[in-house]
Amino acid sequence: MDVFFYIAVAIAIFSTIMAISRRNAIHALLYLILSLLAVSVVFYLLSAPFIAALEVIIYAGAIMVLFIFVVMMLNIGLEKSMEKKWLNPRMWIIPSLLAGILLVVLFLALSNVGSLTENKGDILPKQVGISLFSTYLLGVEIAGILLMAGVIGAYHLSSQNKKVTHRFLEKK
Amino acid sequence: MSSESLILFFIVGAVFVGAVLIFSSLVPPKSKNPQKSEAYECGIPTTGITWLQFNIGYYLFAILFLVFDVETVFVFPWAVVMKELGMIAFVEIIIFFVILGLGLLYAWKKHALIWE
Amino acid sequence: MGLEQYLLMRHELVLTLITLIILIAELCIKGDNSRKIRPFAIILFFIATVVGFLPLGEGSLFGGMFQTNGMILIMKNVLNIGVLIIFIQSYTWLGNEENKIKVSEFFLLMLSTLIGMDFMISSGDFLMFYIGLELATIPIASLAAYERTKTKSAEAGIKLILSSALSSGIMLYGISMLYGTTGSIYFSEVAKSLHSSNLQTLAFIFFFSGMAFKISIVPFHLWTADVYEGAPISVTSYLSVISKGAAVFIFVIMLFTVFRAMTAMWQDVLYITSVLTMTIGNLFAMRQKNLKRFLAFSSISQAGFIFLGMIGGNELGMTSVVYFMLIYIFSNLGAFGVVSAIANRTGKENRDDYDGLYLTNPKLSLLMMIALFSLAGIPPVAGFFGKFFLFTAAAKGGFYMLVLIGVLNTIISLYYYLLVVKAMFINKSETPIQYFKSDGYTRLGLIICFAGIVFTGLFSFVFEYIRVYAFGV
Repeated sequence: MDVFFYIAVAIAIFSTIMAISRRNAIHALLYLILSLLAVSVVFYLLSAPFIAALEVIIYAGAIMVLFIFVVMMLNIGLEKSMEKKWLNPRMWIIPSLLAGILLVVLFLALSNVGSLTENKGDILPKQVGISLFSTYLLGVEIAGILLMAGVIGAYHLSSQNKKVTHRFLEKK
Repeated sequence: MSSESLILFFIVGAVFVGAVLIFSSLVPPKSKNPQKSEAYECGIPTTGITWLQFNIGYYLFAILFLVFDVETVFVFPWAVVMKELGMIAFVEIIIFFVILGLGLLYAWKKHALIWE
Repeated sequence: MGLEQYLLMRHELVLTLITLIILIAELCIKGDNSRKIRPFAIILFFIATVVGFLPLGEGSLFGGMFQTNGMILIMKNVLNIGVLIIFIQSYTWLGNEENKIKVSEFFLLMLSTLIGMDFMISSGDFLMFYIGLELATIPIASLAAYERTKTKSAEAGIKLILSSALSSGIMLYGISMLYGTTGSIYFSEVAKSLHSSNLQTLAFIFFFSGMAFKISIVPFHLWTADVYEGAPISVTSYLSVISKGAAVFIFVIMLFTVFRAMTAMWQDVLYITSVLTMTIGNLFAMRQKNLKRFLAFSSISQAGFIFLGMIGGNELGMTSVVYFMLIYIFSNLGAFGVVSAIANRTGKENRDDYDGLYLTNPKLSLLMMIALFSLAGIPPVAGFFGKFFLFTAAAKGGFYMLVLIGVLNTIISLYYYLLVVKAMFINKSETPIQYFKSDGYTRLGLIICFAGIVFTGLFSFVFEYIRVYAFGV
């Protein structure tokens, strides 16, 4: 088991370093996704399968969508040939190789652990739910307020001003 | 749920997707010309680059999606323990929904959900 | 289990209620004109502030996640007063044509950050503390970018969110180390098992760095000037007073309770950073021409002075920190109020523009002078007593050298505060700012600040009242 843990951690650290050091934002994002997946495997190996699943749902799903939108909004303004260069196999071969290793690690770990419910150490959704809605009840509500403030703030930042006057009537 | 079935699930999924991809690359008739590799096959050569600045409206949709995605993190564990915890958790999640629902209503009222 | 125990979270509940009421009101308003919401929000918040002063017992809720006592109550009330003044001061600015479609957002975002700060101050474990901190930070970033068509405002927003994300990350790392070494995230449990091992020292340093970002302590102050300059004035005053105040409050509580066992270590850290902060803040403040930047650096150096009160670790220190924050709120908001009134009317924010202000706008210049004197700590005004007690607290802890450095820095700071006073009263200008009559709300905001500066300085019972609830290491 320990070996798997160290492999996943090594991938996480390596891909995070790569994500920080890439000049190209898209390549950095590729590594960032990998890093989040590796962290998710680490969570699984630390016997928190539910958190691992949430990690994938939240980070690998939603935040990636957001990040890519943000990157697309940056004015990268480069000539067409750059596209071919960016999609060069050299760029994606390492991340996909590492992702493959992660998958193998996950497989081996799954077959070693045996049945999920039999393993006493695992934190299952039920336990997460009980502690979330009894001990940390207050935190959930504050998170709700935070999410609401997030909606308001996001709308406020990204809404387009509707034109009230016709552009010919505007004062120059 | 035993992990053997999970592994089986993975393998069946991988094999199924792989088989479909290989099958579809073998079966159809092939035609190769430059037009074929364009992003849009509308007959006219595309101009400019695809790495354009996007409309900021996408961002708004994405972040609204994110907010309700994060909501699942709280709702899913609640659904699992709904029966055990009973009324307190129920009231709690209702408050949570009301707060977030007001946020959604706000976005609705501000026409954030309409593509302009 | 009765429902009345939840009254312990009265501040937070009332604020949440107000936020939801304003949100519903915004939903009910037809059309885009939400200017009507301003008086409504101010009155609601005024009620909340008054309700906050009702006496309340001590206790903890949710298994120790939420705790409150007399001191925490005072801290929340101090913050409430500050926010009330800011709301009143921003009334006119929110009425501007370009802001009319986003008035309620201003109130909603500010109130939700205030909820976060209140929860952060009353937190009993690191989880609550962190969620409160995030709630107090993230909406602020969108407020800093409030005038998003202006490049500087957008820049302020992005700088704030990036630097606060970084600082949160560092702080979380520290918290995770604390959890790793003590096995708990509850303050009381962590306090019991701290024993200054190397890893715990490192954890404290990380935690301190995160807090230092929020309080803008040198060397973590680099975001301050740009964000303060770019953000709208109301948001800048909020950042410099309320955000900073909340961070200072929770920091002093945590130093005195959670990190009690490491007192000798954090005294060293505070010593070095406070000297650096006072000196560097002062030196940079001298060079500023833009008054918002100037007030930003002056608020950095004020943060250094606040550390003087904490470092002794005695209950006099805690009293003087809270007392100083109260005075600082009035003085800084007074100064920002004048800058805001003038900028609203004329768009001028530079020191040179204030030349000859006394001849055209005597009342405004007098108020500005008093506010600056209070910030500098000149005897008749409240600021003097605030600084005096901070120095006394440090001296009581035996830090005489630090007090000397502090006094020297006060003298340096006098120079640049007086530069502004000189510009207003002595300098002559060909084109002074014309006389103008401010509207009722601006005046009300300024009068409250003026009354606060005079009142807190003249009557000692404010200090005594805070002192009753203070505690030391």
